[in-house]
Amino acid sequence: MTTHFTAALWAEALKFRRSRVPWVTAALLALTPVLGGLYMLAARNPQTSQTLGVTDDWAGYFSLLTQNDAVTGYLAFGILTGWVFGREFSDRMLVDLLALPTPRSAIVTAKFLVIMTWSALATLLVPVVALAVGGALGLPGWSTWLLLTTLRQLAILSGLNMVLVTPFALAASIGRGYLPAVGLVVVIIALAQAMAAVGAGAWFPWSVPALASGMAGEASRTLPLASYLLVSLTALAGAILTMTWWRSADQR
Amino acid sequence: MTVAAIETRDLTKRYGSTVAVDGLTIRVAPGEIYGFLGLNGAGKSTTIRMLLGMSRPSQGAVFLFGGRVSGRGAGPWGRVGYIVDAAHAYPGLTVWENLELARRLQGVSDSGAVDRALEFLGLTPYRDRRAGVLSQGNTQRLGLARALLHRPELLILDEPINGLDPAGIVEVRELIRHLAREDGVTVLVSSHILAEIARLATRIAIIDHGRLLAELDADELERRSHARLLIGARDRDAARAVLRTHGFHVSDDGDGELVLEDVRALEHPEHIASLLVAASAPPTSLRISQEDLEAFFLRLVSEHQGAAA
Repeated sequence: MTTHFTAALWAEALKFRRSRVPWVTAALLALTPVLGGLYMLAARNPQTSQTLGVTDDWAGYFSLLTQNDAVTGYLAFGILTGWVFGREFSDRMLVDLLALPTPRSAIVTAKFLVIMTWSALATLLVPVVALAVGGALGLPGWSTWLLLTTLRQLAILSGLNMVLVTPFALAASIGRGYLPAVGLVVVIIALAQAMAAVGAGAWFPWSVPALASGMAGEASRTLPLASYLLVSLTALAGAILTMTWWRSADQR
Repeated sequence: MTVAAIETRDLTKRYGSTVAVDGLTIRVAPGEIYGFLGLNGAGKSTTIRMLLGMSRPSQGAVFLFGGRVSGRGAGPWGRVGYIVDAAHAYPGLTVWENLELARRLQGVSDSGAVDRALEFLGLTPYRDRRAGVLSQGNTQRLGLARALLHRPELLILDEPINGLDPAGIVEVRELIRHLAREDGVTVLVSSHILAEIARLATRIAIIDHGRLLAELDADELERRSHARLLIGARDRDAARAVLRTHGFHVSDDGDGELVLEDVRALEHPEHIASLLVAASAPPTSLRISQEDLEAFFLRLVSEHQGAAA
């Protein structure tokens, strides 16, 4: 099984490396601190600063960063997942993965592992680019504690966003392509916003990362344990159903 | 009794009220080239998917090398090579990478297997070329290389010559023959191109609407297909009248020749010639035409459809 899994992981990593999607997702994530930097430039004007509700210092910049990352991280990881699973259908290669000594479960697990690994690595770009942008802008109010707090926030956010991608893998598999998964990503963004707006965000898994980032204000940052439990259950259900689909579904 | 390479028992697949495969029972012995013939939509690909554990039978079972196939189990996949739905490849990977990926997933430890497969299929010049820019013929070769990489004992090929030029078709045909003859590989090859199957297969199954209409080898095909005596004559009406007078049922073939299907005429065409000469309606040509597989197939299908209606 270990040999089969190693083979599947090698195969998935190769397909991933040879595609454009790592660069697209990395660019999307790197854009977050760059856009944040533009906000900071605008916030130098006191009137604009008041309108945007951000201060033009490291605290303001990091706060903006975590809020934006809640959305861009979700988008990047969702698209990435849809592509990794959906490409087998668009390249018409799925059938070549189904009757092999390497079990389908090893292939699905390898896909998830590649997605998680790249998502984690690409997320590292966010603080790195942010430090470069903030440094270049000469933002005031630097503190190491602030940086560590932000890094912890980003880690939690990315972790939540990363595990919540499993239903997109299922959508790509059932929908036989990446477009259904991307469609679901968009629909869920709208739903997450609506749920957060009516105050039910804590009970909608995909609203949890944004709320945890403080997007809806500091008050909503502290979520009940049940919210995190809901996120875990959604992730688990997505992974199990995707695995079941690959193992049992008729491939027509 | 030797264990069959492929055996299906009452294999059935239903999609709602549609029956795609209906009680199919076949047995393919090791070393055979088994032609799987049917019109588009006859149930060939659905059957092949069930053989490969990609689709669960609604009823019945598939056995490969004596072991029951199930999508969930490990299966005998290390002994099986296949192409389903025509050959495809990851377009962003090179030819070598596509095969190396397949080698690892097949669990082949011999790292030289990829280069040997490239050489065998004449793909060495394209080794570092992206699969996405290959011609259809070379993509098909790449698919075959992937299917053969682990030296399978059983090769299942769904329409392997689709999209190939005549030279490519000959090449694939020779390759399949070589594998069966030299390496004892069992081959199940599906096609709707009847002449191709007739040239290649040692045994042919004809399916329509998911049902097995006939299963025959080359000799049986010859025996079961109709033979006809075609007669050319300057005065066709006179010749027809003479033959009718002697009790033959005469029809026209639509190309200006008279047709006799009577066994007496087929066994002794010289008597027909003598008859016509004696009656001053001499034939200009006499030839026996054997119904080819295509005609036989179409006749069988139309008989089956007529019976079903």
